[in-house]
Amino acid sequence: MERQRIFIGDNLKLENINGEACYTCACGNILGPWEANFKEGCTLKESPISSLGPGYASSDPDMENRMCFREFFCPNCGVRHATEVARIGDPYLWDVQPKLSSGAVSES
Amino acid sequence: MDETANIVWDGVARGYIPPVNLRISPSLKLHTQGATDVDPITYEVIRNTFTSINLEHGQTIQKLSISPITMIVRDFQCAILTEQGDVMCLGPYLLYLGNMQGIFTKWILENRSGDPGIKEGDVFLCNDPYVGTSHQQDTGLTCPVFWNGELFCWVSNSVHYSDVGGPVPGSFCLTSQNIHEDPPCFPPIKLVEGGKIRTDVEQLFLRQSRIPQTVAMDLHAALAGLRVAQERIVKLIKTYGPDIVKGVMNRMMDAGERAIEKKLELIPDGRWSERVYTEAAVPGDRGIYVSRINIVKENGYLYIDNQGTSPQVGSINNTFAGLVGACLAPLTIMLAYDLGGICGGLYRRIKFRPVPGTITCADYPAAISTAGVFNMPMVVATATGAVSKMVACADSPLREKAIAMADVHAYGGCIFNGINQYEQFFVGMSAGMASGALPASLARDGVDTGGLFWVPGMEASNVEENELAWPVLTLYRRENAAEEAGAGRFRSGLGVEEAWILHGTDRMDMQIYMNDSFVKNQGLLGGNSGGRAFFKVKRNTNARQYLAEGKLPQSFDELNGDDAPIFFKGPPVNLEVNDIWSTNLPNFAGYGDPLDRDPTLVVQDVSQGKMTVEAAQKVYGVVFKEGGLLDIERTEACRAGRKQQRLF
Repeated sequence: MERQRIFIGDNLKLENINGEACYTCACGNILGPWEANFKEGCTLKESPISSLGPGYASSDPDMENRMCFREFFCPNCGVRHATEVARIGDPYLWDVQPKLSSGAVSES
Repeated sequence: MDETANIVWDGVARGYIPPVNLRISPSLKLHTQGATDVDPITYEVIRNTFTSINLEHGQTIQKLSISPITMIVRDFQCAILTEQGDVMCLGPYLLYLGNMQGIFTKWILENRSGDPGIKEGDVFLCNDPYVGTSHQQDTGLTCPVFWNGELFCWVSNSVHYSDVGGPVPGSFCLTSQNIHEDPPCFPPIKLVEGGKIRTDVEQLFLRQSRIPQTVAMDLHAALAGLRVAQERIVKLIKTYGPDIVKGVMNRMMDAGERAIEKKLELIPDGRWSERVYTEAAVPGDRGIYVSRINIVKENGYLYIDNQGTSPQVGSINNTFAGLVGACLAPLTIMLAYDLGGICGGLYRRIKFRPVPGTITCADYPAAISTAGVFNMPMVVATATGAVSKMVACADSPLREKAIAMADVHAYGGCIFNGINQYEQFFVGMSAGMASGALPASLARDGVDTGGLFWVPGMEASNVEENELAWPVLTLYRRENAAEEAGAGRFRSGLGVEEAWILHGTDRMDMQIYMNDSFVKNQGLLGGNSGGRAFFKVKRNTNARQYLAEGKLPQSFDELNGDDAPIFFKGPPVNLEVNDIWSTNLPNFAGYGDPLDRDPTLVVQDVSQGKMTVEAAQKVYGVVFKEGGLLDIERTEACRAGRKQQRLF
């Protein structure tokens, strides 16, 4: 099946821009090329998990403080494309890499 | 150089991976002849009869077992398999147990067909995780169905038995550093031979248990289920002839595979991953560990690996069979939802590339017994995240089937033991997860206390059933609030909290509980993660005084007493007569940006008392006028302002 555009979330898609597969936001902002993690093109906010609200508060703050909550926003319109609960210092998870009809799949 | 590279996947040193061509003793004759010209009406009659037989198998187990975990919660699975051990029909029960039955049945074909042989009237028992079970408590039985001296097919089941031995009541051995400190493992052994139960083997199995009468009843329920299924299939063969019935089986598998092929065509090629964190390899350990699942879809096949997962450690491990079962659970829900349990075609389209020596694909002799409450939900959750992102990239209508992550270890329940109100030793397993919460999907909110999606047939026990079975009173059981946990454009269904006090005994030991140090669930494509599962204990309370006055306490805060320090995973908690405790199954994950949620859905939650006005504004940026009406203009302004603030 020929695919020139793939919707990922409500506001995130992969599409062909001038012959190059790029991640784009619904606002039109280009978040980066297909070969890279779209999160690299987002504005990152890293917070303590408990800052989200009382439903996340821990009874073991030492353990909780080794983790964080990451939010990845479109740097143009501020919509939130992704979140991660992650160990502080761990790389962003490269978790989505669909392929337009002409692309290749990375095995990394 | 990897020192483990030469270890074979034989079910002894490493989890068993069946080869494409099984090495079966020529002394075992297989029935392989299937008609190719079955008319459509006969095909549908036989196909639906197979589904009914498998359901009757499950209902037999449910009706004859006596453990609440089986009888009510339905922590079991049953299946019909081809003569080669490929799973054809799966029941609406614990999905991750499904393909394990295929794995250990194939092991039996390769390792038992010559000696001692596989004969009519045999039933094999297996609870060895390296051969093909999720943990030792999920013991499998598999029964060959013969016709005219040829092996025609198999019927099998896996049931959670409440105690199969080992150092801890309930058999979940948190402190095990290897499988020798776990309950015993039995590689496949004949429990029934020539139609007669081998009492020596039955006694060997029951002798390990602290509650042998209970386990015996459940074991006989499982045997009865096999008997029913076997008899119905033989009757089907007598009615239509073996070649017609086998022809339908072949066609069911092929049709299922074609249906999956069609679904896969809606998904672009690509790569998707999920990462979930866990903690505490044994009580007292402060380590943090990673479960990771990666999926590559290419040329109509899915290739799944667990690269990036932590090395095996302590008691938080599962074997290859667990990895496969856990990955297939969300794939079954999101890709095979319309196949009525005929899942064999799905399995043909998935190739596993496991990384051994990891917590999600451990080598012998890693400890496995706690997998049922820790690893298996964790791997299901990890796989759900990866599968959901993949399905989210599909064309409609498949993409709307993508659902967010459910529990990680939330489990929401507890395992306990003591002397009950009938003055007998007991082991109780409260499956708090059974109330469940369906997580958000790309198309709609989850369902409040909607059950657990990877156990479609699961039911929560009634409070009264618990109070009849165990020496407890439930003080309250209620839904969580719809606030930040699981928020999103579509929110998670709501989980449930339950509080208890002893009744009819003055002491009980809580062996397994969950008190997450940090949230482990991951939100889907911009959604909030689910909430934190907790287990709380308050000691020396005045709750009994409340009860004597005809009042029911409705929160920990209103009672006097001392909050007990509880770690994520610790030694048994001794509960005494004036202690109260609560378990919480949190809301699961949300999907999408909460600031994009339809404000009228937020208003609906507020009007139904599921969310406060303050939370509506904080989490969703929804502003109300005086009198409770939605203020659309201020809501839009609030949301626009919040999105701008995110950029600085």
